[in-house]
Amino acid sequence: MRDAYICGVGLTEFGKLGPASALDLQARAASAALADSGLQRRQIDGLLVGYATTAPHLMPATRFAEAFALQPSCAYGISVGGASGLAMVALARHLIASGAAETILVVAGENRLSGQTGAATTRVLSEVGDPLHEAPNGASVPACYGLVASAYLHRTGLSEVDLAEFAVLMRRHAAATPGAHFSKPITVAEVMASKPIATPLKLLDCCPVSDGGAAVVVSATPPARGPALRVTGTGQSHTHQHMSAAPADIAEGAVRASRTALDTAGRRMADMGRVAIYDSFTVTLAILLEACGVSAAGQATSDAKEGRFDGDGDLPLNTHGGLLSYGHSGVAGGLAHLVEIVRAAREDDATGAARRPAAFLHADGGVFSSHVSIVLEA
Amino acid sequence: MSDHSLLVDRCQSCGTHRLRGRYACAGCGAEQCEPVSLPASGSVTAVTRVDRSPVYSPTGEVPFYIAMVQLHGAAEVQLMGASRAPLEINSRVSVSQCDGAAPYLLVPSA
Repeated sequence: MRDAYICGVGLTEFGKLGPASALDLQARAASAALADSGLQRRQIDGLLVGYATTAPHLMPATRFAEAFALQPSCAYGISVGGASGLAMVALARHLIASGAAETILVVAGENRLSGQTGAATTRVLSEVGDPLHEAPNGASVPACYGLVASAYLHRTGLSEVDLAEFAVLMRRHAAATPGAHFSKPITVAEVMASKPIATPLKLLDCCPVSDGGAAVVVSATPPARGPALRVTGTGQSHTHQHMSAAPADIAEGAVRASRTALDTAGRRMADMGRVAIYDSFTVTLAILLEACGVSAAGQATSDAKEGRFDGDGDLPLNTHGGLLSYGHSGVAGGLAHLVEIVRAAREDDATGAARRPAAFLHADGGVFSSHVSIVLEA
Repeated sequence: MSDHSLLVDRCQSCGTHRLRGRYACAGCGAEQCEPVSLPASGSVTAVTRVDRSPVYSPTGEVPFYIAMVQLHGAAEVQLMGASRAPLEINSRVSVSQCDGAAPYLLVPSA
């Protein structure tokens, strides 16, 4: 099978970016990724573009291609919620392996903060609730994750204080990352004192809504410089859309997707030197870390507390600050995790850091509904 | 026990119950099903007190409670409902509005 290499990455700053459309932010990130790859527009023959809630469109990839002066031989708009960013990178690998494309531009970007009100964002996102059986109860996405968190804390015997560790950790990482939406360090006490949203989740347990863009170039040809990171493993699982149809273990899809990705890469989690895990809420991170086998059951928060996921820890996690602090601008928020893994791998390579060679990434969309795992290695 | 009953679908092949509106059985994949009435009561498996929400709830202003309920008559069915009154995990509730579609209003059982 042909290998698929990450040849270029681009990431805008996240936050309130002022007058910029979704298309503007997509183009900004794509320009950065293209420049980073050293490739020319005419070399891009595949295009994958994630949906934007502020710019709904029938043909997001075709629309972007026109605006960005591309004429790809294959182009798809992708929509699997928070899993869309990694789903596009996984699909890029499949397209390259099949011979359908040589070099694929993966693009995401949205003015989710500036382009609509916060209430509008929450209402749009609440459409992940079943329109017949769930949404009419008044269930927003934070309420759905509050439900999952209540069951997680009940099952593990952990507390809100334990979950707060992840908000503190992500903010610590963001404090060292230029362009992060929120970079002022916070304490567990500040997380606990933040505004109640949907118990046990408080404001600082929830990711912000941000403007921003991210893009990646995936190619059958290795990059001209830097570590030649390949997508060696991919796995997906889609167990349900709505909570009322979820399996008994709501994160079962993460168990399946991560196993598939590791199996296709011929790797074990112990081979990973870095991890990037979707962190829409603190509890998302805790549950996914355990479901993917990064942490033992019930141990994710104590792993965080003990420094395992710190920048200089055994297994650095979301070192840009994740969705919780770098920010969440829809599909670009999830894709930013991969951009960060690439940036960190280059830094490791340049500094000669002794770190295990592979990286594991996982994202979920909906309420633990759609799952995509990826293994990258040089 | 609730005085009400809840309309769900039962698979004619394997007997697995599911909420209405789906086209095949998650247990066996069969498409044939029949509507049946179950006692509208269950146990809370997850609950959140919603303190902020721009989303309309039939319970009125925040705070209100959203819970997942495992039906006593069919443990394989998970129902999301809303309540004015505080609920706890493992507490028993009845569903007071239950024509087979949300909103499902939950009331703590005595």
